Amino acid sequence: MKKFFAVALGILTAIGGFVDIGDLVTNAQVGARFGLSLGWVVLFGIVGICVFAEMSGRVAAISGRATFDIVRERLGPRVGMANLLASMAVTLLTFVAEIGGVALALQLVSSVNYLLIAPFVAFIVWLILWRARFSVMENVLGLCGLTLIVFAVGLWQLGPDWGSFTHQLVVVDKPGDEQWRTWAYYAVALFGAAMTPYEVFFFSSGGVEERWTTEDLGVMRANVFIGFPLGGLLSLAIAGSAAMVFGPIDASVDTLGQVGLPAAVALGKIGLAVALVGFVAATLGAACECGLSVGYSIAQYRGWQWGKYVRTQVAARFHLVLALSTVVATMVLLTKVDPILVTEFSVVFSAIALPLTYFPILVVANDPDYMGEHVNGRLANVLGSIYLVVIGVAALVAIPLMVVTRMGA
Amino acid sequence: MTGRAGGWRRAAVAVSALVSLTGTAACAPGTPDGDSWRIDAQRAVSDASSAVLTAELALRQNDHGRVFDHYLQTVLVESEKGMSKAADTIGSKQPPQAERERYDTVTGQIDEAAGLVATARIAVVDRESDRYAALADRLAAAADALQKLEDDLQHPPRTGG
Repeated sequence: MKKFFAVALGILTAIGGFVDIGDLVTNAQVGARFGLSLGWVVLFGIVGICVFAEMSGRVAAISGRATFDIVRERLGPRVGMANLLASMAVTLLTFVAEIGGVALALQLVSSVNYLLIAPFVAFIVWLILWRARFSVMENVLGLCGLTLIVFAVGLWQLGPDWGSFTHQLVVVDKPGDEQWRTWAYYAVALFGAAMTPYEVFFFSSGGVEERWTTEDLGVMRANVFIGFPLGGLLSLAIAGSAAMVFGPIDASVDTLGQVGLPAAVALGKIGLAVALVGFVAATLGAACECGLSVGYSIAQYRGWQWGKYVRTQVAARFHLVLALSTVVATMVLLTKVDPILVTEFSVVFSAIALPLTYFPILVVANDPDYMGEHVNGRLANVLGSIYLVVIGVAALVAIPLMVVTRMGA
Repeated sequence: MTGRAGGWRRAAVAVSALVSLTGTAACAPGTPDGDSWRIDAQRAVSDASSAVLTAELALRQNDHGRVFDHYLQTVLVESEKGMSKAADTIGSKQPPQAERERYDTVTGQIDEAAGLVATARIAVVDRESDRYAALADRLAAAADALQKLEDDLQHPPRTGG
């Protein structure tokens, strides 16, 4: 019974913790403009994140070390540094976007300018990173993030033509008034949003924080293979709701306030209130994950003591990085940069950094010195290789598409 | 020594000239060709139309008791910012000769709609809920006009004669 509870809790937090500001904004933008015609990218991205999250979770459970702890040792300092720079730059950018996302969500509740709220949000994030227990942070914010299910309920309430939605999902097509290059740009953005590097970083390091062993492989796989796909369905629900409300009036989505409107249209004030709780929980949870991921990546590369499972004094440099990265993220936000624009950049740059993040995972997961009998099987290797090719293509075309389409204009 | 000083002076002059030229170019409005201007204008009108439609949608939802006052206020403020951004985007572009007339139409309609969104925001901040329905109707008309203008911008300007 206790094990069942642990599995259920893990799945629920994986669902609630899957969506972040990038998923919220990108899915709503794409839904409003393209309906569900890019929904297959979300589904494809979910399979990809499952493949690599399972690998990195397995590495953590078998070796007792986070994947990137091993990368430098296995692939040398140059690859380790390239990996560190690429993933950390994107994670820091995502950290800025997530803190901005929490501030924007609170602005919707209070109508106080997000710039005034952002420093308080950053302080709360730092406090959670410093004081809260890892499991409490993960479970509470993950479970609160589950409230985003309101978008699935809202979509059902809005009564879409399910046949048309299904058709859009399975047929590669675009609305007549959109260009293929714009369609391709948003496909890359959605893929980047679904496979954000920090998620795997956090997942593998979190496994070490929670002291996973071989016995935890089943629970880990249940979290990944049930929780992540169900979390991904929330992304589709957000896109579907935006398609129902903004599609017919031909309006684009550019703000977090617009992302919440479908919940209000479908379910009134109660639906809107639940959606707002979901916005705050999802972005706050993701902000904590990003902050920790920055600390994890630097500490693991430098070989410092890291993690929330050791006392603060023991991992002082790790906690210093957490504090400094929170300050840097806040300073960037206070330059009045638009958090939604930062989000748009972060998902596209995430696509660019993907090869440097995911290639080392595939290498380490195939090394019998670390993995023993738990090295990748044929299926994991075939899927991993296919995704690496797709990731490589996405990374190559991301910047040209960004320039040619003027960021999806 | 003199030669080296002369070299430095020439370099300093060249750098100053380059900086001045760059500065001048940066201050001058962009002068896109006809097609490029039309794409920019379409984008600005489309963004403005989205902002107006969002403001209208939010006001109507408030009429049905489906949104909170603070939420409505924030959505209206964001719409107003969106209008201002759209106006800046197209206002800073130098229109080609053939598009001067439509430039006036585009900037005029965006400014008019921006004024309307600002009026709606003022009403929302002052909680004058009895004005919401009428304002939503006016916003709908403004959005309709913007969408017609966007359609018109898909084609090059009609030449007289």
